[in-house]
Amino acid sequence: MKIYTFIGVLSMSDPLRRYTYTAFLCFALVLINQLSFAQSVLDKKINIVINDATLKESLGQITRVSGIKFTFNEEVANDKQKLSARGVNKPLRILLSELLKSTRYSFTKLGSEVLIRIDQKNQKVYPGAARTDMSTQSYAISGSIKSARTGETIPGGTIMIAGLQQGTSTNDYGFYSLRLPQGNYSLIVSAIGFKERQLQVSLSADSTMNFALDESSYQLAEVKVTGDEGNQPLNAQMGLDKVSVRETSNIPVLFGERDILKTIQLLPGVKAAGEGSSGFYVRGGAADQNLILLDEAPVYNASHLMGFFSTFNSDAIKNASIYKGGMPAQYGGRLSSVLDIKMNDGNNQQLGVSGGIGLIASRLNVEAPIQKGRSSFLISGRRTYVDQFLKLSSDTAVDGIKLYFYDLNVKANYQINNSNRLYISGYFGQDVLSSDDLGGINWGNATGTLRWNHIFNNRVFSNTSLILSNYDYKINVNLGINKFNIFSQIRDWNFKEDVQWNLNNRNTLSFGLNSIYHTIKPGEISAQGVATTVRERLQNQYSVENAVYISNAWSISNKLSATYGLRVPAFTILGKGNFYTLDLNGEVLTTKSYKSREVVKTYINFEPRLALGWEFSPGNSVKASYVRNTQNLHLISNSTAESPTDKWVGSTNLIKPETADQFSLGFYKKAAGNVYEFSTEAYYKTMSNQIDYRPGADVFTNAPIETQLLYGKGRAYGIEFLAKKKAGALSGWLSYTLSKTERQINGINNNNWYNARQDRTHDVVITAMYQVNPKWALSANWVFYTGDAVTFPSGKYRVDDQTIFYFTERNGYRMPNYQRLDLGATRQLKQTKTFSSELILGLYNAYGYNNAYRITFRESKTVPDKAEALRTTLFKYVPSITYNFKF
Amino acid sequence: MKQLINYTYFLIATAILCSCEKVIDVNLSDSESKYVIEGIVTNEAGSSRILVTRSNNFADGSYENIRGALVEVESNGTVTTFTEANPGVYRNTAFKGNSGNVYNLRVVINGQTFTSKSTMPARVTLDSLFLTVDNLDKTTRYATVSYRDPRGRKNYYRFIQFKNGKKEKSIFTESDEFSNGDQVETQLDNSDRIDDSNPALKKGDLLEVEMQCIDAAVYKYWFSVVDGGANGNSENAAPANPVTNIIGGALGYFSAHTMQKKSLIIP
Repeated sequence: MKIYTFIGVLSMSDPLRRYTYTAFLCFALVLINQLSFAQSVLDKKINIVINDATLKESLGQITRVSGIKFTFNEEVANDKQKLSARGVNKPLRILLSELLKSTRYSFTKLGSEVLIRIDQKNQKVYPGAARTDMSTQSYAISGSIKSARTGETIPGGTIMIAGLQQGTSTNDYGFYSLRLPQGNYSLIVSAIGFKERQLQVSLSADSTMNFALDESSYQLAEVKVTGDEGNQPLNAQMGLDKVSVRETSNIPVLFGERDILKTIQLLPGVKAAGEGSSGFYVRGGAADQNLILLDEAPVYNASHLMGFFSTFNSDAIKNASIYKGGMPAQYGGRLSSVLDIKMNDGNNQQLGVSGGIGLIASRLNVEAPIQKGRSSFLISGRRTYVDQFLKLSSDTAVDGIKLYFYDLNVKANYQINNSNRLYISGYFGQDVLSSDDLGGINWGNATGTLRWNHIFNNRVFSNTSLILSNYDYKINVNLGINKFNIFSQIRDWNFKEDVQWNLNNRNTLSFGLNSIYHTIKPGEISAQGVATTVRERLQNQYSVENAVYISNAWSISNKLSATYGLRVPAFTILGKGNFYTLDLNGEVLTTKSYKSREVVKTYINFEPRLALGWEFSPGNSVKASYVRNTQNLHLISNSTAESPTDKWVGSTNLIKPETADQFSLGFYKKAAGNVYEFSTEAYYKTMSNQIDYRPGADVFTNAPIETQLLYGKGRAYGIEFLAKKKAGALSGWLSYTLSKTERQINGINNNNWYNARQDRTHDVVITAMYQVNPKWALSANWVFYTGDAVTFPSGKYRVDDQTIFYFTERNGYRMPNYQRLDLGATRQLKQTKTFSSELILGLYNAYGYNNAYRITFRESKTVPDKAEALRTTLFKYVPSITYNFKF
Repeated sequence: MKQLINYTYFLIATAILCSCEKVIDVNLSDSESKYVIEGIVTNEAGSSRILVTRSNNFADGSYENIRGALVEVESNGTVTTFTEANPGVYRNTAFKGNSGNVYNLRVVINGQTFTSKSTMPARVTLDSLFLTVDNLDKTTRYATVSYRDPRGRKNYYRFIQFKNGKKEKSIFTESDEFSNGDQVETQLDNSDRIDDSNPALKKGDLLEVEMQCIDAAVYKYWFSVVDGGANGNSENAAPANPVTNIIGGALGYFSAHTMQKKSLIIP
């Protein structure tokens, strides 16, 4: 694998670094060993005599003599055919071939186990299934896949037709639709973390079929195979990673707070925005170029407490999908990525209570049916209690400090009938940071989504949503004798209609529209001086963001598929307000006032979306895509830490919509019955109308924000590798990204191209989870990346009797390389049918590497006119302990 | 205000997180040496001066004073020459500026000419100087100034604090953007520079504060020194050179300002 050679090339000056590379290589060797062990399973020599036994009995016999385990489905277990085979010192491969000769089964290695499956080549062909010609009348089957235990819909579940390389997967709401010629079929229904089901269907009319799957009962099975090798519906979608909360619950995290935003940072092409940060950069884009959706509602500030925690409480989250490229036409509005997070619907079968107590926060999650099987609700809350510790302090100043955040997720859903389902979900989160004397700051998000799933008929599925998103912050400051109050808000009313129409066996059409009304209050300031109070109201911004889209997923053949579409966003800026023209130095030339509701300007953009997928041999495919994205809301920030006061502004007559064109190409390989996955994707992205501050800009000015800004272009390119082992006692992944991202803005860096702050050349992540036994699970991840591009001084001079640093190049230097090893261990404490609990231990930055959170420069205290660099390190050896329960 | 939020943040962050700081070696490249001009003309005779030095590399020591430069200040057609009093320090003891006048600086060094322009604003009276306590740490006291901002025009101020005759490094600037026409009281909170300036005020210390009324370009210069991170003390993600008002490629600034001083003994 290429990954190792890259590591080899990196310099090895530091002994600690060398040590970690050794650790890295050891891990790689373990993976390779696993691979070679898997290969040797079938070569294991066996002495056995099997006489007239059923297949299940025969396999049990082999397990007893060899210790080799088999995986098979119910159909295999219930097969009554009597089989015979014998061998002395015979390789398992040959023995199994003999045993299965007269059956319709075949075998394949599955990690260290062997999978018995229905043989595709010798499949008894059901009448009708052999012919897929359209002359026969064809019918649609549709319905949903759900969890049998909780009634939660399962997105991304697959329905395959045995013997035909054909099938489909469920959409985000667990709905599927499939068109087949009249006939009898064997359907295989599967989903990650659930037991596979196989059933016979006789199709002679349009029909509805809902499937309920049982959860895989023990941890090991959680990431079990989802289907036979090369027997997944081929999809042209690329640049997509799906993360299930359950799948990643063992990955160690800072302070033990499970966090979906921290998990996605371990994927190739996604980078943490800094030490401990929940912010992230995707494929060279800035942190504000990610569209973060919670149940379809955009979340404007997805972090708590300086960005160390995300606003997403894992208890309430079902799954997350991150699109790094090739975004489907239904998504738009940000340049870099779409992170689509779905909340759990709430258990509609029985009452479920779960929760946890951690170092930083406690959590409680309650879900229950309102009417069993038809409606349910979920309430999930989390609150931190750092301030409770501060109260213990004897220092009265510290005692007066309030510091906490909370999250509350609520959701209810009601299945009106088979074709109508209503959901209502809400999120409320707030950070409070204040001191009795100094004042404080509160900030938080609130989102609400009302959603209606409607099935028009077996082929047409519709999702209608009405969404509210709100983010605001309030600051009150006692600055000596002066008092300030600041209030800022961004609020969206959002209507969305998405339709999926299964035209025929080969074409699925998606189309829809989205209309958002944005109100941005950049800040209302009231300043209370000694005698007077000044009220300043920064101009509110009103805009409407409309978009229509249409897209078709075309399955050209079983091996070739294409998705093509177009999204057209139109951003309309409305009055009332003043709009300006500026001179080259950013001074206001003219001002034009618009009345309330008056249209100032409309930007219309065309965003073509194109994706192609080709499975050139079973399990091996290549994909290519092109996507254009437009962004009309921009985050204006210039500080190193994430701040609640970072400012969102809409496009104006001067701030043009940002656009990005991304081309990507990928190769995907699945091996050993989907246990191993390898993928690599390369991308090239160009960006226009990128925004940066003018040198010497004042962020807190009352003057039009445009006077402080400059505009230019950007480009980003890179290649990402991911090797994943999805099943077995040891699972995990290895990811490597080589990338570059640059900007060119006239007025900055002498108009030359410069590295964007988020430019990191190398980025390596290893994540491993090891199930020692049903009681203990261990996990580790190791992260290494090239330091961010930063601006350091190249000289110094004296002004006003102090040293002033002289900069020659924007982002011309690098922070030191970053590395960290995190360890985790999960101990299952109690597990009965009604109650289970676990203890999770973690250690963040386990070898205490001194990572630079920031580097500052100052005059030496001892030698006049000398200067020195000062490194700040935040987290070393941070332990955590969390107790979780569920009943 | 931004500093205040950062300050609040860091205060609380350091309380919770075990952040640690260490002086490290960073391999910084060399840069071409630039002339540095620091020009001051004031409304008080004898205090106007122009300093000419050179920038050096990060690892270097003391700065080179530039000798033999031609330094002239022109206003309303009158050209005043400043002569070299000490190496790199050019003075004209008789020179006294007036509010409302535009001053043009011309400096010629080894055939290279640098120019600048600054307007001396009207003098705003510094009404009083007194002490106030830190909001969080009641034992720390700060100098606090009070003045009445004239309504109807833009005003910019800079304050310099001296303790026992020693100038401190904190750069205090203020504009009347949010306080036009108000009686303004400003706490000169130097806590973020306390590590390398004078420690806290003690009983018996002589505290002096100089108030300067500066023009917009000079305000921008000082503001961008602090905000742009050029004095090494900023959370700025993209530190940048301050916006100079000197034309011709030199670093530094040229400021025509009024000055006045108040002092008190720490009780």
